[in-house]
Amino acid sequence: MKEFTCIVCPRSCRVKVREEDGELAFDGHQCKRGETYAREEYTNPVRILTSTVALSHGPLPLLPVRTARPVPKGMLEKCMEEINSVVVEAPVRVGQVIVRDLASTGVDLVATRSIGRWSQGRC
Amino acid sequence: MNRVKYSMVVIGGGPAGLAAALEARELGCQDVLIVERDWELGGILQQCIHNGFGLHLLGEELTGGEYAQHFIDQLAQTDIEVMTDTMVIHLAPGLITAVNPQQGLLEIEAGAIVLAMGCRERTRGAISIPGTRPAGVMTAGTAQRLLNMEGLMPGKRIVILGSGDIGLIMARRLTLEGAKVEAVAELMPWSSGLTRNIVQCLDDFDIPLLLSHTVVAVHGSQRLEGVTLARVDDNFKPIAGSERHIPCDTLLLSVGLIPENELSQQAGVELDSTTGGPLVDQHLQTTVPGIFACGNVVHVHDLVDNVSLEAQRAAAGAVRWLKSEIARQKTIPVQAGEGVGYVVPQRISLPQPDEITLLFRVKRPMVGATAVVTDGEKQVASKKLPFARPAEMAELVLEKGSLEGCGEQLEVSVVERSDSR
Amino acid sequence: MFDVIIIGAGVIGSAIAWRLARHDLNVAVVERDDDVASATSKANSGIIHAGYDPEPGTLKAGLNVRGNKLYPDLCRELGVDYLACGSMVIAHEGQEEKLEKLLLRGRQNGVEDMAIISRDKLLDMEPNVAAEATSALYAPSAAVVSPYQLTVALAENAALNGVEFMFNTPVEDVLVEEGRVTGVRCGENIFAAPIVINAAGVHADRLAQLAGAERYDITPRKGEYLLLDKAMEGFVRQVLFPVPRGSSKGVLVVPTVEGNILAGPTAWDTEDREDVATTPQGLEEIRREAPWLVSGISWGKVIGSFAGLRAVADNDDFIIRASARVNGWIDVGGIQSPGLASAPAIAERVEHLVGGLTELNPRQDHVTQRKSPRVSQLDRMKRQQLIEKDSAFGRIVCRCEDVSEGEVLAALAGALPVCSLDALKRRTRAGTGRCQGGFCVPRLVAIISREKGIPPHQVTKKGPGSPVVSGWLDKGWKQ
Repeated sequence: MKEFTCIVCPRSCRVKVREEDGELAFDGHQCKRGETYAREEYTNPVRILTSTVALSHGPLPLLPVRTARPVPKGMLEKCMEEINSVVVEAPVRVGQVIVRDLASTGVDLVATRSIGRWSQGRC
Repeated sequence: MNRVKYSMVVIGGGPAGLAAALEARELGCQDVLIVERDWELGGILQQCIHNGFGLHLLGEELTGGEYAQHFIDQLAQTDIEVMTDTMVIHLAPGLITAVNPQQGLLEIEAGAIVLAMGCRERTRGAISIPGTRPAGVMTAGTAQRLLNMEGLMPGKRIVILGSGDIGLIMARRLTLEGAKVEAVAELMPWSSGLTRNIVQCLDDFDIPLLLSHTVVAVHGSQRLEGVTLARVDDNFKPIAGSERHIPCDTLLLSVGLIPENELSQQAGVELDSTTGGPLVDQHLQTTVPGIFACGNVVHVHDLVDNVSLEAQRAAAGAVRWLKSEIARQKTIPVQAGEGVGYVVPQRISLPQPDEITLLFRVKRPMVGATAVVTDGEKQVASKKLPFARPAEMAELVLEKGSLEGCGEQLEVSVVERSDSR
Repeated sequence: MFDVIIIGAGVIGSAIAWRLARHDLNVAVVERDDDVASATSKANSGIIHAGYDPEPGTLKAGLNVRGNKLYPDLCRELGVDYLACGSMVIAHEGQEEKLEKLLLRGRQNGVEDMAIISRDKLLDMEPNVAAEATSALYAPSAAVVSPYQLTVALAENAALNGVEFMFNTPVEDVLVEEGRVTGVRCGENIFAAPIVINAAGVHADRLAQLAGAERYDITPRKGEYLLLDKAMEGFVRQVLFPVPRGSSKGVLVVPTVEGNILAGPTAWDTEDREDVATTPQGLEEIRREAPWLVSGISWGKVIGSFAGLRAVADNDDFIIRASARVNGWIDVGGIQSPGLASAPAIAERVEHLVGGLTELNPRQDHVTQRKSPRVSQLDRMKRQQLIEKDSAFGRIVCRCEDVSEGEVLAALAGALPVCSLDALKRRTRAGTGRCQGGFCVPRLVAIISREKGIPPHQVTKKGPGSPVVSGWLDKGWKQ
């Protein structure tokens, strides 16, 4: 059995999920959305991953990035490994794809800000 | 000394300042200046690389940087002037003194001034955590800047005090970047963060959330070596015997935000002792004519979308004030009644030609509550609040003309009704 | 080979160095921490006492009154903020007699212009005084300085005049041959000198023992403080003391030169000479005791708390003497309150003792002045000129205290070799304000790293073992 806190509405129901004869049974939710949420969390939880990648020739050493779509929660670590091996060169535009098909998830990693080129440093 | 002049000057280029400047220009103000102390626009959003911004206002879920970029890109299409690296060092009605490396001291004359300086974090000193004073104790926001913008790891073993959203977000960020977050301690019996953040920032990474706990001692003379946590009773006093020692090299504090109003006070702006921000009316005009305020400098918001909206209202107020279109025949106070921590605006200028948005916070979590605005015995407006939490700002709109014939003061109260479930 | 070695770069060691620097002597100061004023001298009330408190005839009495008189000129010469605020000893009903006693004692000690004032006058001068206050002893010659700003100034002036400061250099042994001191050992290094001055604060008794000099005992007495925001400026105008009760001066309320309000100290004897942790009990005691002096103090305005140790000697007086047992060894121990007020006079006295051991000749190129730029104190014209000369003075790095990058760079390039955040704080005030470094720390780490050519994780808060961050993120730049 697993228990989830539903985050769909502020009610924050605690939904219990049990597997009975190959079927999922739900308990504790007060509406249909709670069941849907718990089913997804149980079978295939996904998350948007945000982080940073190394940036060269920019006013900052880092460029913030995100996955364009949610990726499986179990893949976060693999995704971070790949994110931590990337170097991008400034300038970068917001939305620019930084890594295609991040860690074979089928999801792209994109820049979440625009940043100019700056050779002298910032301060 | 350099002296310049603008119809409107916005102090601060974060979400509030950006939205205020854009709205003022949109409404026809010809010369608008933003004064920003950092080297770029965007304010604190630039270090908020996590997602969760903009759903309400822009219809999509963005990161802080993306949300800021949306406004910065719009600004680039206008003739709004921006001075970065520029610190305002003195404020008087109509006159701003600022300094930057290129021009030195500047006197900026302003027709109208919009305060958008945001807020700062409460520190260890402010909550007087006893113990030694080693390196490794910092606010969550400072750690966020080091981590997300400077590329520096604040530490390796972390304890976080305070379960506000910044604390929760930092727990996830630090874990993803390779640190071990030992625990998040929260003084209150409930978290002041969003449930979604508790689930996705703590539960996802098996980080314990210790409610009704606080740090009672800091250890280590040079770098932090550990903290002592203790459970607290109903009066938030540590319970003897409940102490436990947690070795760690970093203590992050996410223990509240304080509107940054030292400049406002120099200009004679009166503050609300509860919010820590200026007393404003529905136009976001402070007690000093011509000085308006918006965003976290007025009161600490939980959603940036509300900051942008408030900034637009402030800009609209300032533009109308410049055109002498704001009539203020009478001002009545809006009080926080039962169950309500505070209400913004704290006063309403009459007559009231438009609808008015009241923003307020409840004092404790409530289910099936109703917010009521009363004028003496008379109910002026009401709204159901199915799930009210102190962490989430509530909103109530007073319709156009609803205050006609209104008395001497309004009160907003929230009551839990047993029958409303 | 040095002529004189001073152990300890607190206010006493630094004042002695400053005083000896006017002679043609080769002087070194060895300090275990990474900067001057790293222990007692950074954590005290900052009061230049008038001098009515010490027993007549004690070293404390004479040196306090003399030191008090030296301060105004000293501060002018060295560019140290001096708040000539005066002090009040507050009495409640039935305690007026104690004020008379203090007044008499003060007159015996040579304190000028004291007076006992009535409640009306008191209210006029201190509107926030407690309702129970009936009268007060007013001493206009009392003042307030920033003890670490003062120590930095004394040490920098000494360094400008050739005194060598060695930080992170704890003394592990005192070298004595045939009844004469020959130097000190610090780790692997031996520093030789025929005269060694012991100004080691709470550790002075141990060093005296190592040297084999006359024995005395120091008991560290912990004092905790609460610091309130500058928004409280003017809440008290004078230093306020309660009438004396027991061994310490009680919990005081003090205006600081920066405009903050300081409340404290507590007085708890401790065994541990490193114990500068604040405690819930101590902070509670301050909150409980301060209202005895003033009403309406706003504890919500607290921006920081800290604790320091005073070095209390077993004879309850200062110990300032050239050893009769170990030639060349000079003890300057037990310098608790009024130690700060006495510091320049103590330095004169030690100078005299040194003169008894070696010949003193004036240094030809001695400079008395010391300047350090503080943009927030300049008038606008001067500030503008400074920025035009160097734009770094136009970039504000500490928003609470209005400190520019130029001031930080000047401190890093100053006469003393320092680079920690706390050292910068003592010199520029960056990080001492209401946000307590939240805004400036990332900026200061970047500046120190750039200027000193070290990676950011080698930037420390207070010397070895106190890195501010643990390292670079594990990102792609490693490739």
